[in-house]
Amino acid sequence: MAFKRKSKVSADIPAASMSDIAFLLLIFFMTTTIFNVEKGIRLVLPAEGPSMKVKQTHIITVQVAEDGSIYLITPDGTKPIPSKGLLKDELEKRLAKDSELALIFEVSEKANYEMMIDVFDEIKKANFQRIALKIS
Amino acid sequence: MSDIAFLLLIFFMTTTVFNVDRGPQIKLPTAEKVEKTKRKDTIALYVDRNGNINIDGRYIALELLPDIMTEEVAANPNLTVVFKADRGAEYGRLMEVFQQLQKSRAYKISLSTELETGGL
Repeated sequence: MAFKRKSKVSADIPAASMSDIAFLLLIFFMTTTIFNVEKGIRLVLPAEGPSMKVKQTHIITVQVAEDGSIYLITPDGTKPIPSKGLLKDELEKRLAKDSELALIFEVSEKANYEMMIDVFDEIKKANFQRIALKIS
Repeated sequence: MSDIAFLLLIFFMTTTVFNVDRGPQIKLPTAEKVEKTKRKDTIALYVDRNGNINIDGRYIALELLPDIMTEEVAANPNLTVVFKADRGAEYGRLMEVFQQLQKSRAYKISLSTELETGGL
C-alpha cells in the first residue's frame, strides 16, 4: 500500500521577504523610539539650615509680579524691565562686571507657572550660576 | 544587508520606550535653555492647572507629599524630581510643593518644559 505520499508543500521558510519585514519593523521602531530622557530646566533647592551669607552689594533680585511684569532690584534701586529679552542683556552686563553676583528670584504667588518659567529661562540663558529661588 | 537590518532592529526594539505618560493631561510651559535628564533615577511629580498633585499616576494630598518623598529619597539618594506643572498653575501652589520637597530633602529638581521652537 502506498501510504507514503510525498508532501508537496516545501518545508522551508521563505527567506526572500525576510529582509523586507526586518526593514519594515526597523522603520517602525526608528520612528517610534524616544530616547529615555526628560527635558527640563534643572534646579537644585537649597538644603534647609543655616543660610549662606552674601554681601548685599553682590545681590540682585529679579521679581515677577502677578501680571507678568518684571522688576530688577539692585543695590542702586528698583528698575522695571519692559521685556524678557532686555532682562537677559541686563543680567549679562551685570554678570560681566561682577562674577560673584548672586541672584534672588522672587515670583508673586498669584503669578502663573508659565511666567515664572519664561523669566527663569532668560536667567539661565544669561548663564547665571548662583540663583536662589525664594520659596517662602 | 538583512543582518544589519536585524541588528538595528534589535537595537531599536530594546531601546524603545513607548511614551506612556500616566499622569494627568497638562500643558507644559516652553523654554529654550533646557537640559536633559535621564529617566533613570527620576520620579514624576505633576501639578495640574487646579493645583492637584499627582505622583507617578496617583493623586495625593499636599500633606502626604513629604512622607512619600522622604521614602523615595531614602531609597534612591540620586533621585531627581521631574516637576511637571501646567503652565496655568498658580505659582503660590507650586511654591508650597517646593517647600515640601525641600522638607523631604528632595533637592534635585528638573522643571519639565517643552522645547521652544521657532519664533524670535
